[in-house]
Amino acid sequence: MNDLAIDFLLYGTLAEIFARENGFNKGLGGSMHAFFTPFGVYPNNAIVGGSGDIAVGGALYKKVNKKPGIVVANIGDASMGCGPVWEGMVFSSMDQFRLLWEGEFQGGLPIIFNFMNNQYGMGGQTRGETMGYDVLARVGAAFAPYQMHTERVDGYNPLAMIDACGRKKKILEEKKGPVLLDTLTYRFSGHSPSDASSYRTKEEIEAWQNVDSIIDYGQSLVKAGICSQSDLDEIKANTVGKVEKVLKLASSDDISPKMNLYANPRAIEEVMFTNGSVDSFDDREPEVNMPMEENPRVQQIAKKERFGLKDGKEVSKMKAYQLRDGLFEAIVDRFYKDATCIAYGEENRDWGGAFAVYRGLTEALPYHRLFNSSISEGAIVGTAVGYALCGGRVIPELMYCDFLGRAGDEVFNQMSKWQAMSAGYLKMPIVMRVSVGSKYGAQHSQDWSSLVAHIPGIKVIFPTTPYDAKGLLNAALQGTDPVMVFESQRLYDIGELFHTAGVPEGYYEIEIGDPDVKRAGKDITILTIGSTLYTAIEAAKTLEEKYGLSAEVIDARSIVPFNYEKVIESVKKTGRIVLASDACERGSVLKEMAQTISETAFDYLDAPPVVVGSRNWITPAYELEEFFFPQKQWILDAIHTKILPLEGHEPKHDFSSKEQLRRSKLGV
Amino acid sequence: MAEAVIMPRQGQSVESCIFSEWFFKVGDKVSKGDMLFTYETDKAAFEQEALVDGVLLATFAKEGDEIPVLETIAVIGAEGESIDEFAPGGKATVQTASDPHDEVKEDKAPEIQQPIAEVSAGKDSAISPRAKNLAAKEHVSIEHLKGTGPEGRIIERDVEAAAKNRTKATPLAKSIAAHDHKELPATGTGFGGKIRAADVKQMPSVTLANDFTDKKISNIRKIIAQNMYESLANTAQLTLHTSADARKMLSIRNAMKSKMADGYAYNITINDMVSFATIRALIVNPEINIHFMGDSIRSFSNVHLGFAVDTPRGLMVPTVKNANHLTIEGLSATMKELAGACQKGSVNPESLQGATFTMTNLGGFGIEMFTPVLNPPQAGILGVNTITQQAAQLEGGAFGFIPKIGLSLTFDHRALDGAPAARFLQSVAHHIENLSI
Repeated sequence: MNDLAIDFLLYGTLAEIFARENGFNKGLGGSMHAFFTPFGVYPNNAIVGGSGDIAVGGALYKKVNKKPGIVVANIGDASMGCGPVWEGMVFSSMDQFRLLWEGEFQGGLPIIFNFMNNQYGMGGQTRGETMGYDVLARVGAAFAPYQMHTERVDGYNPLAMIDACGRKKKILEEKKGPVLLDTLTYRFSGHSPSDASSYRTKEEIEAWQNVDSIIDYGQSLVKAGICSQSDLDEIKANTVGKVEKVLKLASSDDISPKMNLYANPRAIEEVMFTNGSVDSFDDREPEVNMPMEENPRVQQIAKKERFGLKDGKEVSKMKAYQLRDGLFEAIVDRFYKDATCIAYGEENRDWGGAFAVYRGLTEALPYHRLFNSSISEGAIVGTAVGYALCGGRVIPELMYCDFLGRAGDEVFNQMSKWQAMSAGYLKMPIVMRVSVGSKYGAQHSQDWSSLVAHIPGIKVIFPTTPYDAKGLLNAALQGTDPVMVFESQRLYDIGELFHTAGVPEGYYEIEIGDPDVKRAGKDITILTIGSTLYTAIEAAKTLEEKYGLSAEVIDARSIVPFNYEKVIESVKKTGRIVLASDACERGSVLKEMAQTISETAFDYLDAPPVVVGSRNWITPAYELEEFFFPQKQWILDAIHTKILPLEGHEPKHDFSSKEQLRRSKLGV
Repeated sequence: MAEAVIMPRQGQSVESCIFSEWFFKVGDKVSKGDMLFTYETDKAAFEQEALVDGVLLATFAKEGDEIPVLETIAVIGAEGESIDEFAPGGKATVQTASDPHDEVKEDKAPEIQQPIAEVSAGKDSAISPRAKNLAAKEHVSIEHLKGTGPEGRIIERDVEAAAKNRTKATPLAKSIAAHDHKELPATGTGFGGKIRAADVKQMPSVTLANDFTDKKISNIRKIIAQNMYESLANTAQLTLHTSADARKMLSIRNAMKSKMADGYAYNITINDMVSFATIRALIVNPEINIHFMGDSIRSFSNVHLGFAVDTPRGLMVPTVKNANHLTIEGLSATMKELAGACQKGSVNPESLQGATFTMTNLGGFGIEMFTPVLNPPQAGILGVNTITQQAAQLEGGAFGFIPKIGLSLTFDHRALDGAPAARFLQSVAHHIENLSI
């Protein structure tokens, strides 16, 4: 039985390493990422330090959901040079765990940062060359008054390790984590097959081989009379035999074939998203501070106008049910449904989020379900990845889309990858909210939805009306996939101007991927992403009144996935299309959409699809924004110049092909 | 037992390595652990230790060589051991000083001829796909249409305007015009100048209407149709082609012409001579002078030669009975007589039966090769083609042109095989070339 279990683990791992379909993750994890979560082994990360913040999310999951056990983050000494590791340690040692979290949730996170200090990071020697900490353990002093209970351990001495781990585990059980271990060790072989060990001497390697812990420890056992040399030899022979046997099985094309993408060309496609529908990831009663109806925000919203037009006029901002109310309703609903659901980011608690989406949530939720994080965007997303991988639903927030760069690895390499790399066994129920700014210049006003859309494995939505915001967020929060929600700061206070029945009070979902025709027309189609919808509506009015053209305006609402049916249908009717959004034009996902439309509706087109995006500049000051973001006049000028000359129209901006090529030549 | 030293594999993506340097010479003793050689990948330089003790028996790599990974580059073993099995490509040559004549072969990619970019049509002709489709649907000519789109592109509205300004047409008229790929006329005969179907049909370029007549076929046509079809449907016929030197025939023909001028009564034609030669060939190749009866073959001791005659009523095939008994004059006279009777329609029906082999001549029309259709149960029909000048080596060894007459033999493969058929055809050619009359 024992033997069989070992064979199972060895075979599953080795088959995975050889990218075989029999591997633990059908070979989609591959050689650098073998893992098997049923045994508690979470993904190995091929990004140095990539697990530094993910592991903290695992500990957060255990704490918030009262799960037993601890989390050990095995990372290398060189990962101490990586941001996610520092951010993870900062996040893990936030004072609030000890001081602000209440009742049984109070206390430190159950995590050991176990730095396997083998003294090299690829070819760089950490001590004496690439780092300056002298002794890695010293770093622990930086993070918490009790210095993360840091200890340096002889990693070549199994007894020392057992002793240290036992003591550290006790500290974690006493809720005094996190803990840092500086485990001294060495690697004989190189970082990779292309590592010629040119950075170290043969003598150095031999010196370490002479004190090889396996041999050394075996000898101490023999000396202490616990076993004989022949016992050790037998263990070794058995181990070698087992590995050899399994290696042969795992590397055989007959016994362990790779995924057959000829037979099923969609095999990988099928695991890119889990597409689940889950009310709650835990049966327990969600911890809340009050019944929902007693919540002041809920009571305030009840008095609002759920349709934003009255007698053809817009209801005042104070009275209108706003887009932020739609977001709030979806989120508060989930907090009362799913006990695992937590939200955090900067200014999430008390302040209620920088844009008041969470106003009222502080009253509704205990600290462990809604809290302020350190300003660590990497860790905000990275911990969410760990939390979700362990089985919880989480709503991380980045205050500005522009801060996405700070969480680049977490979004592009972690959140987007592990569902498919686990062959669909892991779920990633993360609804990540980011706001798209304006008015605040170059580093606070960028729409980066196109960047995210480029990365396979993330769903992307950009609701622009209260009705869509609530319905799409409900769908995202019911799902099991990572969804990036883009929210325009221009629209948080907008009322519902399209859905004449108003925003429903009850629960409803809008299918992610389904665009919406906001205004019907027959002469030209305008497809928008984000707040440009409202600019397009203005342009449509002018086209109608001044030029007698009836424009159909479609709001994409989602970017990934995206169902083209309605758009193609519209283009077949009108024969013309302009695509507009606040994203910089170069590389905008609108270009991808324009291309797809060209390919699929070519014969119906009366002109090439034209994209109107922001200029390929920095965003200038608020007062100059009209020169940067697409304006109504731009849309009219683009139509006039590239699609359908409008009688009597005098363009103010140059949308000619010549100008387009000139700008491209200069890269601006 | 000698052991191979291989180029190690460094990383999954490395297919080959550059060999750098040997630390030992062939014949040196090496010990396990000795640094044996160095090599490089695109990422780093590596040293490789010897993995066994022994004498370096041979090396197959020198500095700068690109060696596929896992390939044998040397052999270590006991002194005097054979290294044959290790040498790359089976050649047991020990690497010596490099040959100065070794030429480095450059793998030059073939020059790719770039397609010449098509000169784009003038701006005037640019048209959107939608406008183009609409023009086709509405039968609007875009040739003289002026585009009002960006940069003069013809767009939907231009086609719409043209269609609107044009005289109205009935749906049927449009449909007929579309079917016949015709443009609609400028005006029609309907109310207010509307174009009607009749207007489209009357357009001068319309030629489809009433350009044919139906006529019952004659009886003889029916019989020919039936016979031809059955022949092709029920036999295994195929055709062999050859040609024969016609110089002899032509000289006889010339001689005959002068004899005729002197009062000779017979006009011996080329066809007569070919027929005569064929009869001779049939006598010596009797296996094709037969009737194939399905389960038996009827062989004939005489040749009854059928020959095709083109008549106003259609093809007729009279038979020269016992043709092998006739002189060339007799043959010529009989054939002319029968042909004349066929032309006049006065031929005795008995003369149209009993042929054992048929001749058909299309040479008069300049035909160089064809596939005559058999007259079952006969097993062969010889098509006679025109005479062409063909290049050939002349008797003196020089090359020149000689006149050759084409021969196309269709035979029934059910009755005889290709070889005897070919032999017969060869025999015909032989008799033509060596004709004596």
